[in-house]
Amino acid sequence: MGIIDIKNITVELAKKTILQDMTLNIIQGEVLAVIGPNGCGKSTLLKTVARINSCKKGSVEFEGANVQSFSHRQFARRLAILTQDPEAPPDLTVYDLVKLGRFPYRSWYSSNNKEDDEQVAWALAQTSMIQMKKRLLATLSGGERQRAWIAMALAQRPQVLLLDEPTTYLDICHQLEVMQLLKKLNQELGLTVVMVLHDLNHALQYSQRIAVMKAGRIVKVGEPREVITDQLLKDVFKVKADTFIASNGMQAILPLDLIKI
Amino acid sequence: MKSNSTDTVGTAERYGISRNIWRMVVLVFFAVLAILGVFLSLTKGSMNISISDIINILQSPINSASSQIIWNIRMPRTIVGALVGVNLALSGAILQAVMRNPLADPHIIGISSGAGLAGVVIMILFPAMEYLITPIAFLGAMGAAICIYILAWKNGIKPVRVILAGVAVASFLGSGISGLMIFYSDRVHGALMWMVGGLAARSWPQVTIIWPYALVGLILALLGARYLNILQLGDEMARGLGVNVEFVRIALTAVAALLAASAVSVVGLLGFVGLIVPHAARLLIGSDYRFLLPASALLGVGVVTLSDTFARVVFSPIELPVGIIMAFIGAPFFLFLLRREL
Repeated sequence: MGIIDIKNITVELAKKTILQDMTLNIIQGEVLAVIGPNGCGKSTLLKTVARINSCKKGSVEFEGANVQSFSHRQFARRLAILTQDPEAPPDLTVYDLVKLGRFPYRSWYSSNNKEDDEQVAWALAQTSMIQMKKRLLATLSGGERQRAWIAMALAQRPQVLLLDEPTTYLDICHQLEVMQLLKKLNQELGLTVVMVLHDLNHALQYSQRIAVMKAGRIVKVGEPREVITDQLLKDVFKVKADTFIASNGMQAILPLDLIKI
Repeated sequence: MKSNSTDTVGTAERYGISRNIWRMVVLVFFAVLAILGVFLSLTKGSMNISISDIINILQSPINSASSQIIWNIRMPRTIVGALVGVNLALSGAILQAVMRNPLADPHIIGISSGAGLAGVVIMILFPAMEYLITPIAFLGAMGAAICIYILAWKNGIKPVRVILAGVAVASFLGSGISGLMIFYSDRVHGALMWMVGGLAARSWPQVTIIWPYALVGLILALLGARYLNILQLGDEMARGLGVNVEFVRIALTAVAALLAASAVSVVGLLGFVGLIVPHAARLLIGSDYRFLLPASALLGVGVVTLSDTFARVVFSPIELPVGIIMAFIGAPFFLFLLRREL
């Protein structure tokens, strides 16, 4: 049993089946990368785990309990999600954004307390955003903004963090910054990280397991080296690629050509 | 919602003024504007009455002409104007967040028309039930809001669809209002005045109608400020943060509908207050609803009382309905926002 068990879920959006009888366990303390071609249902999977979408059949369980059995706030204290390219008012400061992460801990009448302030400070420290806490979100670079959002999610003190393409729109340097931050949070805090990625090399470098999706189903799950094979790249992504060992000892791929059918 | 409309707070910060001090300055400025509006509204008119006279009259009501004017005409009219300003401004500010549209205003998107149609039906067909006018106008407003959601819903709320659906709902319901008014023209007094929204002849009965709703609406809106802040992050992030988005959206829409309906019940279809005021306030104080809502309420008082005084005094002895002034300022402002935000 994992920290999250996805059991035979079928998800429909606007009467279209997006996920079909899917089963996947997420193990406590791991970094799991979800990869797959566009439109295969990766984002839908994350949103279903986060209860943003509901499933037509099957269930998602968090530590053995159906996610629907939690209250909204209870659930937000256990699991945080960063959707792709979230929006915010441009005059929001980093500090105020991170403070919103404390929402699940506050009842509708209570105001900020010391605990909240400490947790916000902690989340800013974890993401190296203390210096920038008074900056407006609109004035940050893409990488800094992504770190601010991660800080907000950390302020929820979740056990599991879901991220939908956290490095899209970022340059290589900022991409690595975000990936290394997530790795650090995983190692130091034991945070379980599930992320949808497009860059297979990131998935290879930074995740302990990779789940490959195609057309609403899981094709393969396992350790990066076992999963990412020439055959899989051909079957799922329709590309021909070289796989090789990089100088840091990790596996890497280089796509070479499209496979025409 | 890509918006440049919130630069000012950031600018203040760049010049080394702390955010909260700047916010206080803005609130004080809006409060001064509100007080100025109330004073001008009390002192100016066909007979100018000085402030010292007003203070004397308020302390000991005497049976003079100026006392009559203050107590029976200007005082209640000013109070109604101020509360209508508060209600419409708050309603607009709330709708802009829950409908995720910077142009959402109870008048433009037909929520006022929903309240208006329900109100006109009561006034014309069931005049004996006039005491129920605000609750029924509220149902009309809520009905219009639900129609807009149903029409605009497509995998979530799309800002452009909201405004288009709202304009359609507004003109549909508006035709109902006009039709009823033409069929029963003998039963409608001051119909024209009501259609554009005016404060003429509004007195203590209208004060009694509106103040409880203004008070309850203000309290509920302020309690909703935190939820409104989170809704600005989008539905999915809001849900991820533990907000019951569907419930919060319906509840806050109901608060906005209640505020708009009580305003419509007393002054008719007064437009653009809910558009201009929250935006002007947002421009200066930023988009944090804990500050934006009180700022909008204060500015709403100032804008409506000043506009009404202007409408009464400038073309004297002809008195324009305040709605004409609001539309005159509001329509260009709407276009300005349209260019800037959508």
